[in-house]
Amino acid sequence: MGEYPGGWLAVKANLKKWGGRALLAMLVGGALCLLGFFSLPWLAIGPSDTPRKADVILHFAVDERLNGDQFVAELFRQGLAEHILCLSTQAAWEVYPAEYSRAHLLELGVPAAQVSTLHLPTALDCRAQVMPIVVSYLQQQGWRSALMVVEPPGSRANRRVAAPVFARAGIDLALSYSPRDYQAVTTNWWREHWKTQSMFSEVLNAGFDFFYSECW
Amino acid sequence: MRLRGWFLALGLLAAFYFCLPSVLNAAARQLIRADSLIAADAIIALGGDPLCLRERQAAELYHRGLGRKIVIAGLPFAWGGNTGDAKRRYLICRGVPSADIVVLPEATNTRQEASTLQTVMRQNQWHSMIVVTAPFHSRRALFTMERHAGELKFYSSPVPAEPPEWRPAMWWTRRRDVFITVREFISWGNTLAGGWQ
Repeated sequence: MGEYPGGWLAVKANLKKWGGRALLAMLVGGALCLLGFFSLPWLAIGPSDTPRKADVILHFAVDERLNGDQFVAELFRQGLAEHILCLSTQAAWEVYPAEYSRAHLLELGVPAAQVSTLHLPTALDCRAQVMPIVVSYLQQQGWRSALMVVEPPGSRANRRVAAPVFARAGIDLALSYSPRDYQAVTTNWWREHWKTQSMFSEVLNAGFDFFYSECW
Repeated sequence: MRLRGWFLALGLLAAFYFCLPSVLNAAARQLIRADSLIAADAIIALGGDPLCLRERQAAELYHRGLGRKIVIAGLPFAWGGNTGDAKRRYLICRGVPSADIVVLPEATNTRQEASTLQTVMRQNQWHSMIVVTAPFHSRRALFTMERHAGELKFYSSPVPAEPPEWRPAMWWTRRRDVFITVREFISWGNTLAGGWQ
């Protein structure tokens, strides 16, 4: 009475069909996750411009594990800019890595009068809120072109966000990073926590930016 | 029969839509662990807070007599600097004697902090510790520490979940909180899977 024709056999056939579909979905999902994971360097790291002459070098690459300071000092020695501006948010109470980076640049032979620092606010949500502050500072100083030096994992996102803001302000922008840093962050990156974390965070951040108008 | 299937699907979709905010809020609240506090041997303020809200809370607990020492986790950064030095200065400014401050110099992630902390606790013969961290990080931090040193006692006292800290209510509406929440869930996955250290 009311029994489905075919009874238990039909249920078994259905289970087999849906089980197969679930397994296929899991396999495809797993493969996509794996593909996404190993695409992290491509998703996070964008192209680097050949460094060109500018009014100022904007030094964002202040991570002590990388060679940003050496790269910036080398660009300065090559005469690509007459001034270096180190930028960072606060790392702890009244401590700004940009100040330490400046001290390091002085050790590397850059004259003190030609290196300054800009402290960025800590409580901002995303890069799109940082760039207008930087542009406004450049305009105050009368600088019309900038060479931005960043850490490789943030290079794609930095270019996407900075390029339109700088263009609107009429400031010529080139974005670059140290080839040694590129080598360092892409070598065995999946084995080291900080490399994977920095690339993953950059990609995650860039993805979320699209959903929040204040970060476009 | 087919119409009934459509109604069922529509009903499920509507239920999902209306329940989703509650589910997301509840999931975020699960990240927080706050224990009732009793006096412990020491208090640790975990690293990674540029505003020093964790250190401020640790100092308050110290002045309430809930711990005899404060441990702070420092992060190395550009050109020989360490955030531990700044945090030490901050605590001194808040009235904590320098002799009662211990700095863990290399604490780049939670598992490293847990590993270094258990060594420090054993060296000093401390058996209990109040852990101060961000609210979203509190359950994972305690989980990691208890897994590293099950015989030691840890109590959680996170920084209040209010601005400028992360908040669990409607977290998906705030750009900064959405990043923190999603990253924390992923970090849980990494911790449970025993992934990167």
